[in-house]
Order: sequence, then structure tokens, then C-alpha cells
Amino acid sequence: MNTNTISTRIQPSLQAASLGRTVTLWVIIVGALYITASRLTDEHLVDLMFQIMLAASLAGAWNIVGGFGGQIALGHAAFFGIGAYTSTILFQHYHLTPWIGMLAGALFAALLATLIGAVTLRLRGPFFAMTTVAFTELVRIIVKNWDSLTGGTRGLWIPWEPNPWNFSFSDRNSYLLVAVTLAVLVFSTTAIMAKTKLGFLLNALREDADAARSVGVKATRARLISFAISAAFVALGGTLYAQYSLSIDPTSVLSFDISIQMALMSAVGGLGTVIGPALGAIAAVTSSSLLRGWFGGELGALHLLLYGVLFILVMLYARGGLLGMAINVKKRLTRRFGQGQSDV
Amino acid sequence: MDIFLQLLLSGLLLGGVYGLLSLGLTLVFGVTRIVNFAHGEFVMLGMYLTYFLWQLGFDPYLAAPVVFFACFAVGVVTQHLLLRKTLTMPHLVQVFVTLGISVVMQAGAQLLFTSNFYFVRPSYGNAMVEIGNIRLPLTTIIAAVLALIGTALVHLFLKKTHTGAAIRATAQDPYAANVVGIEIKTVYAVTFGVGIGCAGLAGALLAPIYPVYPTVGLAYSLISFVVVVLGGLGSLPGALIGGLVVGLLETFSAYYISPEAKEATYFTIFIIVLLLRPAGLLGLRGSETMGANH
Amino acid sequence: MEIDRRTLLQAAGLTLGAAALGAPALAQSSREPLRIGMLFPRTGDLALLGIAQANGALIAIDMANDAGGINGRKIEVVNADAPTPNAAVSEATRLISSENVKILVGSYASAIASSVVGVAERSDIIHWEVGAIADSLTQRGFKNVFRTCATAGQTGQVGFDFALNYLFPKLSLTEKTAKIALVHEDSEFGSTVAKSLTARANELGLSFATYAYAKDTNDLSPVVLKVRDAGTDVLLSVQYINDAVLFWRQARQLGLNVKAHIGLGAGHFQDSFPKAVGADADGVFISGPPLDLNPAGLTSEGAALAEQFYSRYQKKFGEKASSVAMLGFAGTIMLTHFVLPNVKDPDSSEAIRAAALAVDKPVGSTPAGWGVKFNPPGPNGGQNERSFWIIRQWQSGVLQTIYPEQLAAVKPIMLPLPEWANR
Repeated sequence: MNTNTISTRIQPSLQAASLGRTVTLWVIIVGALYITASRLTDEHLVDLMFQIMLAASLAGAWNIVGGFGGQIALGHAAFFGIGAYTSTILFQHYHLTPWIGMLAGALFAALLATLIGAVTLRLRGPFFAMTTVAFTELVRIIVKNWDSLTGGTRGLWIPWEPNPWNFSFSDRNSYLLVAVTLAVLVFSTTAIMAKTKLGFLLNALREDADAARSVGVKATRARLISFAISAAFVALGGTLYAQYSLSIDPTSVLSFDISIQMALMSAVGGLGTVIGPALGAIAAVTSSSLLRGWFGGELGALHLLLYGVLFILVMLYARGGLLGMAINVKKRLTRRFGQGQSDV
Repeated sequence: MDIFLQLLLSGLLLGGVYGLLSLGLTLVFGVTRIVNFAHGEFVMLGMYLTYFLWQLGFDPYLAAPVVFFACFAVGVVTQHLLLRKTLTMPHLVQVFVTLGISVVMQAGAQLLFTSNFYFVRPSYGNAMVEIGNIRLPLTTIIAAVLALIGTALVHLFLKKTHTGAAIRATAQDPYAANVVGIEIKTVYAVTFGVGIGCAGLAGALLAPIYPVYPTVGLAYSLISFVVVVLGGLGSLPGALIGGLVVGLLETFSAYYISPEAKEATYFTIFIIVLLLRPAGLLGLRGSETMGANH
Repeated sequence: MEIDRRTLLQAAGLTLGAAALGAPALAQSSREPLRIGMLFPRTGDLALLGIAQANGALIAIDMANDAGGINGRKIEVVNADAPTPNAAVSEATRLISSENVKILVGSYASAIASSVVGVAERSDIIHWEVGAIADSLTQRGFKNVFRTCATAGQTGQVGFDFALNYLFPKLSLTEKTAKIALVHEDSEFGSTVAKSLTARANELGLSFATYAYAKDTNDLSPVVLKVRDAGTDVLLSVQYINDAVLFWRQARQLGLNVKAHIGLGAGHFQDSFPKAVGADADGVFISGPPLDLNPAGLTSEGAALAEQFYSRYQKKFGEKASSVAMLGFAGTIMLTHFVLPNVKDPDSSEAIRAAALAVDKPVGSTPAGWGVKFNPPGPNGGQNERSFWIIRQWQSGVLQTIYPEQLAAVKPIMLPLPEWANR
């Protein structure tokens, strides 16, 4: 019970569900997201949905390393910042469209992640965590001091001249559509991963690193590939954030807090599950937005306090997160009433 | 020459302060194998407690023992309520629970005390010790000296007392310790209590030097990580030596290279150490690859 | 509450519809309140001063409403909290789309402001900045951004002008021989000031050295020693409260004796500074937002507004207004007193923009001593070119206005600063 995380409990039910049904469900959800994203007119709701989609993408990407791989990565802000800065710098210095800059940022982040993954192979648990924290600090310090390229602590602004070719839109819905696309990409990748060899290798690594390591090269490769994919997705999110907010600086895209948020949302939603991080993101973004709106900020820290408590409780008592709880409730209901089938 | 000596002594004192900051972190890790990501927040707690006691008329150094025991109690309770359950769980859970504690403590401090800066200002706050042309602040000297004494006391406690022996036995092999009848749960609770007590004590001794505010802990956590990884996670003398190395590096690089260079200097060294000799200068080789439940 | 808002929105929508149809809606719309969003950091690290600034702004709104509103329309304030840039984007969007505000007033901090202006520009809503000082804010070519206060670059300039024109003669220093040093934290604020001052010093051919450091540092003794050993005469600094206190304590400890110290940053003008260093604060000059000006230096209109502000603030919040609150008030009163009354249709950002650009008030017209004249669109468009910072000095734990001289209330003390050994 203790060492089994939720994914091993969910895996069989996923397999039990026919592939066709899962795909159909997936298509329906994605379709609904796109329709909502393009039809929504209230700008505030569009913004809220954008924040949720971005947060879900980040949490989902983090989950690949932290949830499936069980590695305590606390430095994903570095990749977020690298994505944001790479596309913005390429646009400002070489007039390269952020669409391509975004890919360049993702590639750069993936390469760095592979490098870090390779040199930290021997490090476990907290040591790995501290290395990733220190790595992010180094990136932040470099960005802060490389004034001519990054604008130092003053940061960079992205001009707002609506032109779809330059990833700049006159309406918010277009940004939202990009965010939905990113989220769909992230979660489709995790869903596929969970069902393929990569996912099983990661799972094995997490459950028993020593045994998996004795399998050798494959496990190492799985670890590096997952780290690279995760970093690339987070970097894409970084560019999206930069284009949407129109300004970036070391505090807004490279702070420790961002790394923590990704891990927090992923864990509260359900570590190592496919859609858990999305649930975590929905819960985090809506609750903070609602509390801010209700209390006009009087009790802003209360939100963090509640969230921290919830986080601890989830870690101690319900490591399946919100998703795990939902499944448990459903299972219990099913058992009691003896009907319905369990599929996620 | 004066400048060199001044920098040397300032750096050593700063290093002593860092050693003091890191003592609790390394102790907790050495025994329970938990890296406490809320370490800096417990230092913050110690600073707030000292501030309020000072407001009530206590001298900060008289308040220090009170703060130590208060934090000891907080540590035991925290361990009992939250961390006890995580001992058999993966690292991820341990790290995340301590991260959760740090989030809660930060938010709590902000709700209770607002984001104001508080300063503890004893009458001797500006007192100096002068040796020739070299000038050193009294408060920093006290903090550094007490760091030495604290390390020695904890060391003695581990070596000379019954509880200490039990703690050491547990640190070496919890299963064997259990077999010979050591109540591991109590050992862990006491260790965590002492560790948090040390963090609180560090806070009390830092309070006359630095202001306290809700987010002050993060910087202290980061420095402590650098220090203990450098010295060797789990090693008491390692924390002190790591602290001195970081303190000297910071002071000299700030003067001879640039004040901005010092952060980059120590994070680079941190990463290099982690990569080349993750066990640190004095740590047990191989501890970085220790399995989940040891 | 929610329902109230919705009906209100619907009502507003109806009015607009009627106006579009050419109906004589003026009489009706004059009863509709004018909604202004007040976006400030009210939680988190920036909350302390963010709230003070919002309170100052609120006094300006109260005054307008007590005088019957803007051309008969009351102002309704919608408050929002923007503790981080990310939250600021969300809240600005909410105010504009859900709360239907026509003008955003904010935002104390540059990091917050720089993300809000993007939202305002997109939605074609005026952002009226009263407190964020990053120079970049008005350099992005946004047409909807107006800034009432002076900028970070200017804070360095006034410090320099004060040192050269005022202090040098009194301290018997000359431009050729005097050694000036700038110590600054390396965030946006500090590095902006350093950049503009270095350029200026090179122009004037001064002996000028800069020392940067990260603001969450635990030890500034290497910096103090460098400044000391360079034989610095006049020290300028850009520091937050944390490092300002650490630096000044270590300056005493290590015997850094300068003839004058001018704090250009956010650290030195807060009450926490004398609280933390006690009497050592005395004699330190600060450059910052105007407060407690000599009424003789203001126009009669400006003096009257100032008097109202101080008494209303004291009454409403039970404490003396701070300079950060003054920024909030002075900026907002420009909007409610000089701009909005001349706007025919306050629901149109075009009309507000035109009215703002048309205002032309001489220096001294506002309680902060500033005039009102916004730069036309273009380089630094929307910046009030008649705002400036002033120099004050800590005297017995209280800040007193020293410079510019026509606004000065008292004479400077401790010129030069006595050596630490004699204090």
C-alpha cells in the first residue's frame, strides 16, 4: 500500500476499458474544449480558462518526470524561463517568429534536461531535488547578469502588434486555443506514454530503482527521454506565457515558486496519473481566482495556507490525489450498488 | 594586509553563522534521512519568537534558550503529527510534506504578522570589537561562537548521553536498533525536535543581525542546502566547515571579483560538489545513492 | 451581491445601446456611476505600501464624490488585489470584462504595472499609473498608459543635481576632486538608476564608481570596505529596506565615513529605516515622492488640495499620510480633478485620452508640487513631464523637505555627516 502509488491501481482499470471507448471519450473532451475555447465571450472566463490550460500543461509536463518517474524535480522553472527567454530573444534580435522560437526554446530545454539528467544519474531523491533547485538558481543568476541579451533584472517586453504569424493576436480566444492545443499535446503524450514501454520503464524505475537500473541502458534512456520531453513541454508553456503577458523578467518566469506550483498541482490532482495534474490545475487556479475575487485580497495568504494544508493531507492520506479520491468513491459506490463499470 | 585580515575574519564569522543555520538540517538528515525543505521557515519561526519576546522585554540572548525549547516542542509535534507517517514512504512524499509545511508556515506568517519587516534592536546592537584596524560586530561574533559551542554540545549529546547513543545507533541501522530495543519512533521525534530547536536557536541569534519577514526562510533554506551538501549531508563538523567555506568564498569573491559574483560562485561550487563528490567533504561516501527507506 | 452587479451591467448595456441608437441618453447616463478599477498589491510582499497607495487614491475618489461626482456622475470604485504579475493579468481582465470598469488605477509596483498595461492596451482601456516608476512602462508605445509620477531614472537625476548644485558648495567639494559612489541592489530599480547615473557622470566627467549586489544578501561588508577604501565623499544608494539597514549598520561598524549619504531607493524613506537603525538615520538624505511641502511653493489650488488630503487621510485611516499614499492621491486627483470633468463621454477611452493630453497645468498645481502635462504619443508617451522627485532628510526620526529649495520646509542638518566615532 505504501510503496504502491495510485498509477498501479489505476493501470488495470485503464487496460480493462476498451481502447476504443477511451479514445472516444478523449475526442469528446478535446472537441468540447476547442468549442468552448472559441465560443467563450466573457474575457474574464477566457483568461481563467487560459490560466487553467497553461497550468494544466505545466503540471502535466512535470508529472512525466515527477509522477511517472518518481524523481523529485524542483527546477522546472528553469525550463519555463528558458522557453520564454529563447523565443523572445530570437524575435527581438533576429525577428524570428515566436512560433519557431518556441520550438527552438523547447529544443534547447530538452538538450539541457538531457545533460542534467545524464550528470545526475547517480543522484537519488533529495540530492536530485537539490541539484535541480541549484540549477534553476544558476539559470536565474545568468539571466540576471547577462544584461545585453536578457535585459537583466529589467526583463524584456514583447511588442503587441497583432499578427498571427508573429504569435500575437487581437483577441484572447486565439491565445486560449493555443493553450488548449498545448494541453491536449501534453496529456495525449502522457496517455500514450502510460500505455507504452516508456511508461512501464519509468514506473519500474520509480518503484524499484535498483532493480530497474540493473536492467541497464534502457532504464537510463527512459529516464533521460522523459526528462527531455517534460522540459520541452514546459518550455513551450514558457513561450506561451511570454506572448500572452507581453513582459518577462527573472522573477516572473524563473522563481522557485513556479517549480513548486507545478509539483503541487500535479500532486494534489494525482501523481503519476494521466489526468490528475489537470484536476490539480483546475482546483488551484479557480480557487485562487475565486478567493481573490471574494475577499478582494484581504485574505490572500489564506488561499496559500489552505492549499498547503490540502497538499500535506493529500501526501499523507491520499496519495492518489483528487483523482484517486474520486475513483475510490466511485469504487465504493459501485461495490455497494453493484452496477456500473469503472473506467477513468 | 588589513583588508585581507578584515575579510578573512568577516568571512569566518559569516561562515560561523551559516554553520549555525545548517546545524539542524544536517542533524535531521543524518538520522532520519529526511531533507527538510521547511528548514528556513523554522529559522523564521525562531526569529519571530525572538522578536516578540524582545518586545516583551527579554534580551534576545536570554530569549534564545526559550526559543530553542519552544522550537524543540514544535519539532516533536510536527514530527509526531506529520513526518512520522512518512518514514516508510518514498522520498518524494517526505520532500513534499516538508515543502507543504514551508508553504503553510509562510502563508501563516503573512496572515498573522503581515509582510512587515521586524527588527530586533538590543542596546548593544552596534557594539564592535576592535583589533588594531580590524572591526568586528559583537552580535555576529556571539552568533559564530555559539555556532561552535552548539555544534560541540550536539556532538557531546550524541556521544555521551544514552539518548545520543540511541540516536547514533538508529542513524547507523534503524532495523538493528529496533531489534536491540531502541524505541525508534521516540528517537526520530527527539532528533527532529533537536534539529528544529537548533533552527529556532539560529533564528534567535540571527534576529539581532537581520530583519524578519514571512519569506525570509527561502534564502536561509538555500544557503543551508549549499552548506550541508558542501560539508557532507548528515555530518555535524561538515556543516561547520561547509559554512566556513561558503562564508569565506562569499566575502572574498564579493570583494575581489564583484559583489554580484558571489551567488554564482557558490551555486556553481554547489553543483560541482554534488556532481563530483555528492557525499560532500566530510559526508559518508555513497549516502547520496541510499535507497528509499534508509 | 452578484445579482446586483449583473443587473447593473445589464442596465449599463441598455444605456449604451440607447446611446448607439441616437437616443438622448445623457440625462440617464449621468445617474449611472462611473466605474473605476483600483488594482494594487494588497497581499504578499508588496502589500504594505501597495495598500497605503490605494488608500491615498481612495481619498481622491472620496473628494470627487463628495463634490457631487464627475459632472453629476458618482464614481464607483472596484477594488482588486494584484500580488503577483500573473494575478495582475487575471484581475485586470476581470475588472475590465466582468466588472465593466472604464479606467484602471494602479499599481504601486513596476512588476505589476508592466503586466497590467498589456491587458489595458489589448482591451483599449485607460491604465492610469500613479506609483510604478520603471522607465520602461511608458516606453513601450502603448497609447492607453498614463503615468502621473516621476520615473526611476529621475530619482537618480535629482540625487545628482542635489549633490552637485546644493551639497558641493556647502561641503566645499568640487566636481574635479570629489569622489562619488553609487551602491545599489541589482534589481530593475537599482540597475536602471545606475545606468542613467553612469551616463550622466561620464558626461560631466565626474569621479563616479558603482557597486552592485543582490538584494537578499546576508553580508555587505565587502561593499562597505570597498566604498570606504575608495575614500568616497558623497554616497548615493539604491536599496530596499532590508539591505539599506544592513548596509548602514555595517557602515557604522566598519567605520565608513562619508560627508553625505543620499538614499535614492525604496528603503530609506520608510519609517522602518529609523526604527531599525535608530538615531543613525539622522542626517541621511532621501530622494523620493513629495510630502509635507512648503505651501508657499504650490499654487493656491494645489495648496488647498494638499490640505484636504492630509486632513481627510488622517480622519479616514487614523494615521498620517505617507509619501507613498501621496503618490496615490496626487495621481488620482489629476484624473478626477483635471481630466475627467472635461471628458464628454467617460465610457470612451478615446475621449479620456484626448482630455488627458489636453491638460496643461503649471508646476505646483497638485499637492505633490507637480504640474500636469502628459507627453503626446511617441517616445515616452503618456508620461507626465512635470513630475519630479524631491530630497528630504531624516531629522530626529522625521523626514523634512530640503530640496528643491522653493518647496523646502526646513534647513539641512549634519552637513557634513559627523564621523561615526563622534556620534
